[in-house]
Amino acid sequence: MFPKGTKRKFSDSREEPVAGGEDVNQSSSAAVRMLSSYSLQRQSLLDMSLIKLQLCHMLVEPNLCRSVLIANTVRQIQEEMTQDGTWQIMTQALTQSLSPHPDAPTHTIDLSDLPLNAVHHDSLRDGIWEDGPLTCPGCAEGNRLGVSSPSPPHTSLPTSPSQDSSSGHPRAQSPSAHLRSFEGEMANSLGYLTDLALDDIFEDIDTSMYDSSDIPSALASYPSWVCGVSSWGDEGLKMCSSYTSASTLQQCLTDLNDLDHIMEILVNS
Amino acid sequence: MAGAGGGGNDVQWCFSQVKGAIDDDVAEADIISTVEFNHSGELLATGDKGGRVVIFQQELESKNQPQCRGEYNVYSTFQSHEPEFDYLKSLEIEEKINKIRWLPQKNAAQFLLSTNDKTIKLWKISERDKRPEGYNLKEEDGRYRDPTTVTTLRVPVFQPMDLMVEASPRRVFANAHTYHINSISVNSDCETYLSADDLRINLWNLEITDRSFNIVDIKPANMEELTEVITAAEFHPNQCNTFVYSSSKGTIRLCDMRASALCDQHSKLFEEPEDPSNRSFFSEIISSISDVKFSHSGRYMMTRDYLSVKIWDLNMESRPVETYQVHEYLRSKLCSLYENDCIFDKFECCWNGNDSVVMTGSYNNFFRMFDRGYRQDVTLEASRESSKPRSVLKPRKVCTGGKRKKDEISVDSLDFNKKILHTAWHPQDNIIAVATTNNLYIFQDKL
Repeated sequence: MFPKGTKRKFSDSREEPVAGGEDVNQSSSAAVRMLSSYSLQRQSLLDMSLIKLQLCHMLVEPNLCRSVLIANTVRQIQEEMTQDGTWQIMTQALTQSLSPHPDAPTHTIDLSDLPLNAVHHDSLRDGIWEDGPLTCPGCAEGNRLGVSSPSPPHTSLPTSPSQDSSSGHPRAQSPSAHLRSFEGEMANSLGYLTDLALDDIFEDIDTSMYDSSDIPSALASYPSWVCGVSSWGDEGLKMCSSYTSASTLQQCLTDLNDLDHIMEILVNS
Repeated sequence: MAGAGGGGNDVQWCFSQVKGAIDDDVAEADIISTVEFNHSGELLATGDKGGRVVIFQQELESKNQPQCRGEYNVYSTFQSHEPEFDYLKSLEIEEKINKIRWLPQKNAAQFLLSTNDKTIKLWKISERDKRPEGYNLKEEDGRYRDPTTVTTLRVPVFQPMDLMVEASPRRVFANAHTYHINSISVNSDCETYLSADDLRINLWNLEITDRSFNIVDIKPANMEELTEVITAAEFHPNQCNTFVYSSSKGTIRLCDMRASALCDQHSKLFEEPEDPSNRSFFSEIISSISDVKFSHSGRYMMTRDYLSVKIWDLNMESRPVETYQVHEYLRSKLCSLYENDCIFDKFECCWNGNDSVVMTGSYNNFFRMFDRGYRQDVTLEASRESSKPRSVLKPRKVCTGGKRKKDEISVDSLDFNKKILHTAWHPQDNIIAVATTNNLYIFQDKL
């Protein structure tokens, strides 16, 4: 699960035993075992909650109360993990596993100046629809990236600034951006529900062909970083198949990496 | 404990009737979504996921069977709401009836409000047992007679006919809610009512459909900051200026409409401090209030959260005066219940006629009654097995650990697909209506 050479500290005990070769628990004390078991459970709960949030989008019209409760649970876990430092460890580890090219460009989740037709924008946030135009001025019809605000709309949660400042990695933007994108996902699940999928009007894919249980079509309403342009099929299914995999988080970020690649190609062309 | 049920230590509950299909294969449209007695208790309305309303009427007590109260039989059935498609959002609007509320009876006809996620409708249910016959100008089938054949004058006369119950929509209150309506409540002034969705509460006049007043709005300017939604709302039974609404964070706000047009500032905030020993990641979810009901007296209100029922004195905001555990044995299972989504189930609760007993549902088709005066509680089951006429319901018990006694059920054997979310209590008598997934059970006390 982790690339070779990454030294795993025993506090990073959320990994399943089968995933790597290293024995996580250096000490046999009961307290450590309890702690690792708690961290495991907490991580599992985090993964489960994120999947639930994603699956919220699959329903015909998501239940706002449910989404809010799950989002609050994720925030709680995030806060606790930030306080005991495991959040940073996790983000750093995931960053390292997601870096294929040393000089891949830093990116944020702002997609406003990319004319990608296949990518669904993540601008289903209420504020944008209420205050701004439906599409950003420079975008052509059929471009579903209607983001008019240039700044990444992930500033509402207290944990993000601390991650940015503390990470000394040259591409520090990436992991925090990835994580902020999860926060953005929470915002999506809330903003999405309000003013709604106006982008569906422009959707190429006729969703009436699909059942609500059809995962690929449901992922259509996701921000692109979740499923990646290439994930209409199996990868999307893989992502939603189980709650307990600690690699789910990583899977999403892997897909995001695919998107980076594609965006890069399109921008350069 | 002595006695088998709530409502005094000598009340025994008997099976009376069950309505609905017998087979286990539940059609989605038949899932009961709301149950409500009218103000006299003579009528019992149910709404289902298919948008239909079925009203049962209690038969007059038969002199032949003094042991029984009148049975409830189908009085009227109508399609209240149809599925709609919101073209702007490309989303379907479910026809499921979320709530039914009866209006107090003013004349021969009955009126009720029924609502789905977006639209509230006022229905008039009226009886017709006479029809005019003997028209001068028309044949019996309605065709007009040839005027040249009309040589005499006669006036139509009302003749008795078979009783026909008609339901007609008198008002449609639409386009006022962006989010899903979870509650409606008729004001004691009988002129206005409120409707509440996740973020807003609107005040309507029953006569006016094209306008409503927004009286509560908790939508944040930035939806990313949304952390709390409205879960239920109700008008005070006597004070027409007072209403309460509950939230997903376990708080209840009481508002006075005289204070200002927009009641964002509550008059009272009811919140119990969290028990630190029980804190977990699920604390907030299980504190979310799924139902709030005023007592008939208006002195108290009851709230239902995932594991408990709480009674609040309106004069004390700091904590409830009574707390009843519905299924505390589920506290150690919260993670599994979160995984299978049962933790989001919204249970309702209700008072009996004199506010001495409260009732709420649970899993495995169990429902619970708590007698406030005698401090007793009982668990009963709505099942076909115990549905012989007038058979007394046996109290059930869930084994929480250790050795399981005979007749007890262990927590792991509970069927979480069989949930009783909707219950109703007759306003005067000890008659209760309990809805399982697709069946309606009527129980009454042993006379």
